[in-house]
Amino acid sequence: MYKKTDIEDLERRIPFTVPSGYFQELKFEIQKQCITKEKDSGFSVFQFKTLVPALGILLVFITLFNNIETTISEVELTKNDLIAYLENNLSDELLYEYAILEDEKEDDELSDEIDYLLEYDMEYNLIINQL
Amino acid sequence: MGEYTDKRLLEMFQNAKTRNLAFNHIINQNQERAYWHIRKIVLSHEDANDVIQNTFIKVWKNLDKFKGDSKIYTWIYTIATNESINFLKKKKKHYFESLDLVSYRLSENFSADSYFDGDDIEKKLQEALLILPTKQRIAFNMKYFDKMKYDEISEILGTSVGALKANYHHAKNKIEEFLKEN
Repeated sequence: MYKKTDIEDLERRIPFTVPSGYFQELKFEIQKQCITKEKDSGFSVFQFKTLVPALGILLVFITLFNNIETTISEVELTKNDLIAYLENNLSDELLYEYAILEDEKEDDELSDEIDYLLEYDMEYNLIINQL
Repeated sequence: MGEYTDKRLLEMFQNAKTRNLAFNHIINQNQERAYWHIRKIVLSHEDANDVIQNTFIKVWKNLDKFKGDSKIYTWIYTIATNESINFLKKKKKHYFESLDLVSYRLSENFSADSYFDGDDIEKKLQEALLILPTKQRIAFNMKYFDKMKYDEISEILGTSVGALKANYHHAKNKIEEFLKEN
């Protein structure tokens, strides 16, 4: 029967060794690794801190630019939108007046063409066809 | 090279001009104890060398986020512990074995390891340690070899002091039983 060993009585020595001068070299190896990793990462903490605000500013500019474009588009669409708006929101009387004005405008354009044809002695048949 | 307080080292690290100097001091003050902590977990010198370097690369990358709520050395111990466990897990995946079996396989190399200089009883003790579950073995090493206080071990491993005391007692019995039978 073997006697039980009390480990509290043993010498608490770590039975491992390292190569000679290992810890001196380790310090430099760690420093080298850290510098290499930082270079490999493409940008440092400092660059990261600079890049984030720069990207933020760029994002604001892009957003503003898009808003300006949207405003311009809205201005360009105003004529079409206006007709739709008039159709939906104005009274029948006003729309009737608008339609008369548009007809008169078309008539004026037509009479201008007839005057032009008469002035330059154009064929009457052509004039009639135009009418 | 004189030792700086943790507070001073953290201040120096925040300053770009003294950042490298602070890191050099941190390496000098912590590399040996961190190495031996790792070595007791992964056992081979080559593996410990890889893990210690990865540990300090993480320290370098994360020190500016370290709030100083604990001592720098306990924080480094925590990183070293996690890196060592992750290293053993990678081995486990590589060999499709359990974490504890990986530890046991490590013991087979004691005799061939040129960086092992223990006598018979020390070799037996190391083999006995490898029958413990990995986390229990780590806690046991910290108490038995490093003579750390339970409060510190608790902080590093995130285990309650009560559980650590019970684990230590249980581990001690298992080791002594192993030594008796072998």
